[in-house]
Amino acid sequence: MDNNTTSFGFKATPLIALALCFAAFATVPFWAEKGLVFLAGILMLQIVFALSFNLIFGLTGLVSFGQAAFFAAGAYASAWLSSYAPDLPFVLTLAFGGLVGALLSVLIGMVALHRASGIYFAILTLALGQLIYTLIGKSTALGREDGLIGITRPNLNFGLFEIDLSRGDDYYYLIFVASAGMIVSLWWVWHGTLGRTLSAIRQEPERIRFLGVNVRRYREYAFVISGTVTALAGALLAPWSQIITPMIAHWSYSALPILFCLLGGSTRFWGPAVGAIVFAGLEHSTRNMFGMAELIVGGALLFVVLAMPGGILGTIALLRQKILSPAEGRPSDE
Amino acid sequence: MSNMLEAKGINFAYPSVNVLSDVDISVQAHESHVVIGPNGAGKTTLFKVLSGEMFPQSGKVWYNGEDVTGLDAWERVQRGIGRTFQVARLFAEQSVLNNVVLALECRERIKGTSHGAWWRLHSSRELVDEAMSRLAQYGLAVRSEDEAANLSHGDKKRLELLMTLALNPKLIMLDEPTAGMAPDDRRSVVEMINRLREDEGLTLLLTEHDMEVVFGLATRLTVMNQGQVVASGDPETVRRDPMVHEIYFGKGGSHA
Repeated sequence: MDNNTTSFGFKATPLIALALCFAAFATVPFWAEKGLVFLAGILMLQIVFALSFNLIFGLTGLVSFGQAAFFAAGAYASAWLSSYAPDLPFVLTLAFGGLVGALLSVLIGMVALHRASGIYFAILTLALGQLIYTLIGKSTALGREDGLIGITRPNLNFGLFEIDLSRGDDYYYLIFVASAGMIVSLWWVWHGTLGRTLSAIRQEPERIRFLGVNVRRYREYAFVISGTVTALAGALLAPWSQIITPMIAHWSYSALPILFCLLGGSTRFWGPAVGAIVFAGLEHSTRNMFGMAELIVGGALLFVVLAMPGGILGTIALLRQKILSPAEGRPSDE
Repeated sequence: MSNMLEAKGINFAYPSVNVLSDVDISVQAHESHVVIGPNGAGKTTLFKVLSGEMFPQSGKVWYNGEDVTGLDAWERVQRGIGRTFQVARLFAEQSVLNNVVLALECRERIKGTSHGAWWRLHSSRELVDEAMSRLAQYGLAVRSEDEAANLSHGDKKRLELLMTLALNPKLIMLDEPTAGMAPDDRRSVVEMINRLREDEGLTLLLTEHDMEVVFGLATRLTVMNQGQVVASGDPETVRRDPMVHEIYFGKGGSHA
């Protein structure tokens, strides 16, 4: 958790960093070229993807390898509904994506959380995730291996006025507002009573069980909230990229949020967001180095994971503490 | 007096070894019932079965007349059974205060009040105040801001007991409450436990190795050996039992 024990200065630094990020994302369409705006939209959704995943990973302490299944479920469900019933209000198709993700996470959670301990849970979520990937790839209605193409950006009809999201950067701002809303909700869950209970489950499941908490039920709550938000992020992606393929259900896509969490630091709320941004930055800045890009990105990741066990945020906190109180030298977390 | 907790015909076996064979035990309201026995006698396993941490292969457990054999630990806790562990289990990354507040929030959630509601961002002022006064009662107020991981062994056990008591249980099960403590600490724990029974009317079920502690607080003793109950009764009767002498106090020494 990010309730840092040091109460010295620099308290404003994280807030300033957050405000800068917020301002940067809010203004991207004004100063960046089209390709970058597109990537920024994807990045926001990946941040939501990673933050929602971290609710079960960093907070509750469950290692799931099947999170992409929910992302794909949301994307495919809403894209399918919008092509099947193009006249439906966009909010409904979005909600449908979230609902399908929620139902799927209830089902997968019921099976996988039966064995919540370590490797069993990881393997079960991996297997179930790959099952979803295979089902999508074999489904004609979902375009088989080719996926769904030509997904249209919708009209938002508010009765009195209309917003045509296919115009200009309007859809970018829809992603921006929706992501901010989901991040605030996740932040609330993480820092509130529910989050404290989930963190307690990670730290000492037997103690919390003997405080009268149904641990299994709470893990299911975390799993479903996480799956639903991930699915909503997926549902928002489809009209943005206008094409979705089964690759977004593949296990390698499930590895992305794990990577972001490890990179940024999974014990802190903003860790996965930092991880996603740094990763995107690395990828973008090495995009022209043919053959070298993967090597550089992989090497950087290897360095962070090996040399910075608390991720980027964990290391920053540690350095800050060392600078501020060299006498104590007590590690801030873990 | 009525039986608060009762178990009959408990059998528990791990794949290769029989741990409990046909164990009967009954705990009456307001008694301080200590289960003793050599290492490996099955005391901790019996605790696990009685508290719902594990389920027996056969036998039944009743709490206040209700069959709780199939209920999980959290359900038994909600009915009023508390439990501490041999090695204190705490939320190590949290402050001492937050550990207690978390326990109080669990209590409020069981009661269904808004103090424990999931949507609440900050803990309610009332619960924080209550936690502080409970900490003060146990001499832990000065450590309230420290991480639980940094407490001494004795303080960890005290904090765990405090968290268990925060749920206002009727019966508490303490697994070796003085294990690994210095003699002074032991005496204060014995005093504290006696106060819980005498002043607050709690019922206690304990396991303990230290004979001074055992005879300092037991109102009833059950002796186990190799997964079986070999004697049960008031401390003086059990102390004189020749069979108990042979297997437990044997060879003239104490088992401390």
